[in-house]
Amino acid sequence: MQAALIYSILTVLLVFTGLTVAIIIGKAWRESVEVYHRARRREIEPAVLAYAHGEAGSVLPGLGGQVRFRDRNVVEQVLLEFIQRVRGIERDRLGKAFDELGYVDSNLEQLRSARWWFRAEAAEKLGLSGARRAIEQLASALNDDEPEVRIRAATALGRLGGRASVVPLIDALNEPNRWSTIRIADILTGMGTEVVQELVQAWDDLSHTGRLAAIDIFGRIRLLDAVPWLRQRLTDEHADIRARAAHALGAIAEPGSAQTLQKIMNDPEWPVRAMAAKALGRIRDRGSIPILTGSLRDPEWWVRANAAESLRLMGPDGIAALIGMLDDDDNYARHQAVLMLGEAGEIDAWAEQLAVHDETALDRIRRVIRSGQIGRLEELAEMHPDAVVRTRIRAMLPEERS
Amino acid sequence: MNWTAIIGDLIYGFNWFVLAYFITLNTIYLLLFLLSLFEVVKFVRRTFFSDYRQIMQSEMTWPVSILVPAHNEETNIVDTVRSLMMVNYSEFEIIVINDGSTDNTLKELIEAFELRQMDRVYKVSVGTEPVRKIYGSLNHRNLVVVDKDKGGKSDALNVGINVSRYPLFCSIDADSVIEDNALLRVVKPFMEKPAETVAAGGIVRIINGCTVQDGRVVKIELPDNQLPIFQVVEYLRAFLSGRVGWSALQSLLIISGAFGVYKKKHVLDIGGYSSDTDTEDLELVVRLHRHMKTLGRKYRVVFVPDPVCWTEVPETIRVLARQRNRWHRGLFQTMWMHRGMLLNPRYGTLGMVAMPYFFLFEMLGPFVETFGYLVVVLSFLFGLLNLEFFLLFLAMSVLYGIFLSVASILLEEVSFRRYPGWIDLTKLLVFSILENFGYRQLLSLFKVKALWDVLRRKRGWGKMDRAGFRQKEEQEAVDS
Amino acid sequence: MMHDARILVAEDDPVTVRFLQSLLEENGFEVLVAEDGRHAHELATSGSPDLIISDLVMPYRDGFGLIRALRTLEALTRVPIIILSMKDREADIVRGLEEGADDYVVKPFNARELLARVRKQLDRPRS
Repeated sequence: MQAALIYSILTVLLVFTGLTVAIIIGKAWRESVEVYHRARRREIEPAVLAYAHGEAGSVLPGLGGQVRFRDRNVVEQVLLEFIQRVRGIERDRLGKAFDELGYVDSNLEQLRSARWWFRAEAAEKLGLSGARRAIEQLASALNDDEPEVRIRAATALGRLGGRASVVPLIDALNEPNRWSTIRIADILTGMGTEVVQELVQAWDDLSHTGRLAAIDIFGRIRLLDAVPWLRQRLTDEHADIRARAAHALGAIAEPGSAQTLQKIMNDPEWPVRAMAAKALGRIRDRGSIPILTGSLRDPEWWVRANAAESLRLMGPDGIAALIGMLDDDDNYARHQAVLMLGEAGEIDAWAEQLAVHDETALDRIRRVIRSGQIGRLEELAEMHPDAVVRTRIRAMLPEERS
Repeated sequence: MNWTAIIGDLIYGFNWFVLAYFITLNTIYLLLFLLSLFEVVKFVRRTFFSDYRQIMQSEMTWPVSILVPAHNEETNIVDTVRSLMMVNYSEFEIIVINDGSTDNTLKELIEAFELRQMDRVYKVSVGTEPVRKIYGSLNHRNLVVVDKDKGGKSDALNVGINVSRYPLFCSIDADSVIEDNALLRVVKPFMEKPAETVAAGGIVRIINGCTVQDGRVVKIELPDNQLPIFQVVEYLRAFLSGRVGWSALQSLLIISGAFGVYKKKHVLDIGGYSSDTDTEDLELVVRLHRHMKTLGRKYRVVFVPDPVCWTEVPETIRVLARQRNRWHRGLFQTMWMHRGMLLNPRYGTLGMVAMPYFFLFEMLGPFVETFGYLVVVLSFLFGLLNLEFFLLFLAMSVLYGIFLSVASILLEEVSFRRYPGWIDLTKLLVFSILENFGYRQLLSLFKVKALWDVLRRKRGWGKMDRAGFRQKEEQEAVDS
Repeated sequence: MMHDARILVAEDDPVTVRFLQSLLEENGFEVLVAEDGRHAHELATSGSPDLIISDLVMPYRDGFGLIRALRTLEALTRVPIIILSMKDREADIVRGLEEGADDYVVKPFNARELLARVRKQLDRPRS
């Protein structure tokens, strides 16, 4: 009993002391390394920058002829930081220095490390450095067991550019992780029109999330040639694909898409209707005004809001349609119309007209009041600079609503 | 056998029970700590690679509605909104819900952001107290201020949910400050596993002592007063070596109301926040778990150890006592409401491990601890216990406790290292030792008092005089 | 070439700052650095820069707000401003120029191109 007691107390004490010492030594070590690195940085950075801005054939003379072993990490870090922030000649020069000092080789070696985070880091660095001779090994890293390494390799390939990386990147769109999909989609978008054809070809092999990302890429690249293909996607069996396709067509804004989009304004899924309504507004097709006006009665807020916004974008005709909805039987439609007219500044403009007693404006304001949405008017009744306007609105407003 | 002998046996037995209790509890903490250590190291390795800069500006991130319930927050509401506006995120709206404030909260907002009344049409998905007016700002199109009758925090959050437009919502306390990338980091799990993730919470840290400028924490330091420093150590232990571990076990029961993100659809499915308990945040998460398990869908509730929300903690024992009293009553009410999950194999680890743990150790534990300390110390003084047992007891309760407190400081040191100074580290270490002599026992006392309050007032486990109570608590928090 | 021109760099990323500082100083310019929007506003009014290079996303006051504020000041209405930002969307570029910037360069940037744009702005007669 006594021995057991003493042992257990000693063990806890020992572990506790060990822990405290570990914390303190850890912190001291980290801080001294940081101080050293900062000091070395102050000498290394100007040399690297002078090389980048200048004409010298090599970075080595500036660094004193060689990089000491304990400076290797600092130099690598400095190079990579600046490489990310510039392009053009300076970037090429920094990339060349990265290779010249042996960092491409050391990272290629790390890409085969047994620990995944070393592999991921190496892929990342190779991509940043712009070392095109790493393409082959990075492409094979796309089959790595660890998802983080695959994503890093894909990103790196995207940065290195060239056709060799398009196909593996499109494959990588199939990753279920949206976080990486966003990065890859950005990279593909940056590669421009050449990607579109590849995506169309890969369509059948893409997963659902991959397809959604692909359609978004189409919308962002905005290639007219893709329009007919995108229109076909409006009849896809998946609602999200129909919705994203509508969105992409709106982004490209080719007038010929209007008719097809109108057809899906009665889609059973509201996200599709909402996106179609938005797209019609971006295309600014006046022929869509009646159908958009009808959508102000849609049971879903997003659809109503997008339809109203689109009507506003149509200009005077759209505004007229919104005014027409002030007396509609549908409560939601009325509210949406008033809201949009308020945002468009129409209500304020009518109030302005009250100073000169304009019949049309009077009538419209009465209709707004009847619709039940009098927030803006109440405020104008208090805040409008013109006393005449204030009194007139106040006279029209119903007794204090509570 | 006379009655003194029976009492002697009882006391003896109780002492052993208390010892066993402490050994079990601290061993559970140790296991959670080891699990957390593993998870945190893994987490830090992954975040090293995250490209927040690029993701931040992408149009493909999910838009988020940030809900800020505010009741009598005139002193800091404008700063809070300003700091939220600076958050790094591509698309978000800020909805401030003024819950019947009796001070100038609304007026401050109207003046600072040039608000004007707006007719916002929205669907009432959850019933709430009446909304008076909705305001918008021409300069800040993503700001909405809702003025409503007083109905408590959960009611205010429900109004926010009704008014919000986006598929994710984030609840934030009106007196806390979040870091620029915090929202992005806490939304990340939703983007990594879009179908499964239903809620995610971030770490909450203590702002007392830090320097805040224009809604940004510019210098991180420990508080000057002792009470908040104890809470810093306690929060580190609870968040870093508690919640990280529970999250890894898929049994995270609490997402702090000060900073959490939820998928709106699921919260609407279960009828929003409930005003039947004193801790709406805890209750919501437990109910979400229950709902998802009942549906039988694969889902996850995630704790992300890094996103930082800074919040102010009580500086005086009185306010601290009141805060902990409320928390513990909330725990009790929630456990009571969801007692059906306890030891129910249908709920997996949640029902078999997490709920029993919360029931036995978090909820009833304080009773055992308070009486345990009392009885063991008394029996030792009266010569009923030998020295060996007493030392063993101290080792298993206090020494083991110290070890675990220090371990969570280690966790902080290997991962996020938010407190840069040596003095701060030393203070943290010293206080993690000290907290085992008094602070923890004090907390146990507060909790016992809370249990007593709940049991005494037979008005059910539900609504108590909480509106009045709250007002008082907040009032005093401002006074102090 | 103007050798004594003073350039204010408003930028919160220290690496970019060091790069720009080295680039500009090597080419004979004097450089003032502000790491956030508010400080930039102070330096712009007190340091009488001949040209301003500003980021868009900065603490306290973003680039748009900074430019708008500077353009209302008598002394600064004619000082050329170049926006240097990661934001590459058409809408941001248009807005930046509308708020009163004279040029817009997207990050990552081409150092020699930026230098040429700086010189061009400085050489332009300001009427």
